[in-house]
Amino acid sequence: MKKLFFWIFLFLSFSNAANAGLWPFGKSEKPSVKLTKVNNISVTRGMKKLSLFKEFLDTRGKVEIKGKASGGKSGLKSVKISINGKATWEECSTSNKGAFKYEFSPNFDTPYVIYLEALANNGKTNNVIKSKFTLTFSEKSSKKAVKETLADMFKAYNEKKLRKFMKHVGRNFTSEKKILERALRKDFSVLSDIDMRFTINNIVLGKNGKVSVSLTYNRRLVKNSTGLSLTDNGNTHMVFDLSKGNPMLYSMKQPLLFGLSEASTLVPGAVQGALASFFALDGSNITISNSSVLTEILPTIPNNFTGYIFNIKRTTIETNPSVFQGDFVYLGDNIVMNTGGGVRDLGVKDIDDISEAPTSGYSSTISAGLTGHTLALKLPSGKYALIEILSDIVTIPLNTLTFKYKYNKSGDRFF
Amino acid sequence: MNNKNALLSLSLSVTLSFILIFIFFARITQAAEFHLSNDYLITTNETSGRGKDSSYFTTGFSYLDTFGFSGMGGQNKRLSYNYSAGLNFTGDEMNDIKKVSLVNAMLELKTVNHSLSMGDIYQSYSRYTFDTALKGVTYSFLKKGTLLPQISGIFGWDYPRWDSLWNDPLTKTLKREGFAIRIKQPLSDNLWVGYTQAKTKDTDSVDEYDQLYDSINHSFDFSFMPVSGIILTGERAKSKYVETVFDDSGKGGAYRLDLAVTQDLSRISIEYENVHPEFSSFFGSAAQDRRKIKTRWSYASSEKTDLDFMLLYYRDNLNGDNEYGTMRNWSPEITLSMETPFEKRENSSAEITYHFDRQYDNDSSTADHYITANYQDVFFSVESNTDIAWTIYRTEDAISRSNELTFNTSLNSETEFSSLIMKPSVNIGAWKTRDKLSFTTDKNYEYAAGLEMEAPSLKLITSLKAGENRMFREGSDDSEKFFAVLSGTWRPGFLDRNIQSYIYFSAKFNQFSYTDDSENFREKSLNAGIRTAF
Repeated sequence: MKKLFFWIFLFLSFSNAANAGLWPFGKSEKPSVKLTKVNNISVTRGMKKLSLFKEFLDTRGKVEIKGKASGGKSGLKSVKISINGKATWEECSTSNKGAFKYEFSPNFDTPYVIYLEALANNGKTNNVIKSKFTLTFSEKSSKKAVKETLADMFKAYNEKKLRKFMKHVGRNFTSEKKILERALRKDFSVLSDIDMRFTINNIVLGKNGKVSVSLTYNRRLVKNSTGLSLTDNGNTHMVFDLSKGNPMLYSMKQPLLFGLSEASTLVPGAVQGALASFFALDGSNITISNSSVLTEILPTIPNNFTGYIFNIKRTTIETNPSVFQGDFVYLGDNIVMNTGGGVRDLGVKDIDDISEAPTSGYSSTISAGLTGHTLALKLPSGKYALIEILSDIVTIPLNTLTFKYKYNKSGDRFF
Repeated sequence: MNNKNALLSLSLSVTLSFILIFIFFARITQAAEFHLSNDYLITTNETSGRGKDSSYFTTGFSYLDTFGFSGMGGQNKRLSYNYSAGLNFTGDEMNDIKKVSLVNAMLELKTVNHSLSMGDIYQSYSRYTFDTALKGVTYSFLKKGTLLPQISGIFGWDYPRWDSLWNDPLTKTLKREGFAIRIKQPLSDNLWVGYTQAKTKDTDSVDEYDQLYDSINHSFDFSFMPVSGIILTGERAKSKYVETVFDDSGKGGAYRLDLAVTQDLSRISIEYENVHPEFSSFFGSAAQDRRKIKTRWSYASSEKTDLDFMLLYYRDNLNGDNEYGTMRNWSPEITLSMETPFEKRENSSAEITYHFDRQYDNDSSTADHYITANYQDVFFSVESNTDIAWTIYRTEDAISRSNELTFNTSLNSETEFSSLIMKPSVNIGAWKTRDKLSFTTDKNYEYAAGLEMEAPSLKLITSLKAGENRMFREGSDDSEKFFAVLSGTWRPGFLDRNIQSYIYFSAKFNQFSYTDDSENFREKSLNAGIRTAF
């Protein structure tokens, strides 16, 4: 920590040297002017236009433009602004440190072409052409913009369009934009027939340009390696940042919708009472969770656990441990068979080394904590399956079971 | 079927009631600004085929009605206010598990310096302490143009839905109560510092698996712009939690520093983050057990050419007690973007990126290379956008080794024909992966064509898109999907007063076919809705 303060001190000391002309970003000989904020929205390098929503106007319906100007060595005399493409000019109020501001009441959906002119005491001016900036206020609400952005993101994910999706992810995405991008590449590589849709439950606008969105989703995915179909629905939350004008994804929570391949790296929190299973993809396996999130300390989905139906390759969301849909369910840390079914431990064996399920010795439940073991399952339908437990991560109540399986739909015991 | 008819008639009655309420409110609220909106959607789905259980469509008729109102008043007076609320009505559990739900409710009161909001509230105080929406109340004080501190506080419950608040059995969750306060002190035009404290307390568990946490987080953050073009921001946070059911506890710290330096042609940024494995943030956002450094240099070498270099490094196991050792990740990336790369193609642009991902710990090691290229151009009046990506995946110890090629191109055009605007489009995509260990190849092709037509005089927009997606898997089942969608919006005369009022419809058809035909199924869906707002 001491080192940290030392470096900060050193940095600030160097920064002060800027005014002494030692810093390359400090004063230059030529006048310069820079737009820094539009109603508290930061204007960054390269930004030549900005579209804002009506909520960004203050209560008087006005927009405030702020910036910094310098007159070079001779000093700054004045700053002028044109909001109509240089047709007319007005003087900005300017502080003796070069900060300037200007207010006006914009009309909706009218592009304001802004130019700035910094006049130095020696009569020189900045390059006015380079200061061009276009500002538009949309009558559309930010909520509608968020809905449109979400629709575009879902469409891009369904169509596996990485660039189209990533243009909606903010540079300040909390779990690192590049990790999300890598996870999406892997998602698109291992999944096909992605079909996801959403209904927005709730959008809440924050004070500093962020928007919290709660949504209900339905999805169907197919794993390329196995042809396995995964279907689920549930509720989740996302936050968008409007500080650059368009809504940009800022954070996500579990259940995760995008970037399943790196679920545990991307999402630090879960939605309370999310009514869904959590999908996670790792290599060629399917992971299902019994109630859970992938972080260690956050709680869980109450009243829910997951099961699996082999003949339709489908994960089920269960609420009643006595009556459930799955051929088996993963409950607590146990594999519990549906009525009429049974399970038997075949020991530490590779699933590929087993070609026959036994005729007897089945019980209705078994501990799932048998990593590396292969289990024979006699299903309620009378058909057989084998599963090899790859991992059973127990952090009550955050258990996660990962398994490989073989299923014989003909009804005989041979694989 | 009787139930469905009952639902349908109920939904129609509800909609009629809303229309009457619309008229009533519109008359009595002429003085203040008041808006009502209602979106009624009716859907009928049909699935068939032996594999129809794989569809998530709810078959038969269903409806979704979204009703909302909002208002505001007192603008330019000492006290201004705004409010909004919304309800959902549906008969389809895929839309909402409840047939009737209060989806949002909010009231805000404002003076020049003070604001008070209640209902659905959201505050974003700092990344590591508080950045979430609650059901509750929040207050903020901000006096613009002064150096007085900005003070804000929030209190509420972290319920995902309103009906969880009144313990509806279908949506009941544990009760997480939250409180946070923030003080932000501007010290000059270029420097501010902030302090945030957030507390949570869990009670009322729903089942034996629920863990109940008490937690507290503190953080200091700042932003400093010493000279124009340089911004330094940072945050230092500490957390502590106690879990009362399983008697667990933990504490940890997190900090981050971001430096951005911008000059005319360059932007350099450096981000550093360190999050302790036991740092917890129930209302903030932090990836635990991560030390991250990210540097980026963006350089506009000319008005038409941009170069971007990025290096990301992160690792875990900050406590040094992970069984598998430390997972280290290195990801350098270089991107070259060009406007008009070919002089004669004045509307063209191109971008090429090379990205390398290296991950390793004691047990595993991967090295993946990604090369992606994008080219956009306009040929006659046809806009083209083409992406090509080549990826090499390498996991050591012969666990996996594959090459992947992806190609996507879209062609779009727009032409006016009499009073019609026509926008035809074509999309072609291909994907191929070769597993070099199992010597298998999987391939995917997709092609689709679409036509959007706008008739401005009729206020009608329609779109038709159809295509096919074929997946060939060596060593597994093949699949094929045919899809067609017809959709449109129309604003007839009686809805012409408000741009947000219109009628919309869609018809969808999907046919899924597999090598094993017992999995084949078809989906048909018809949707029609009316959105009214004023």
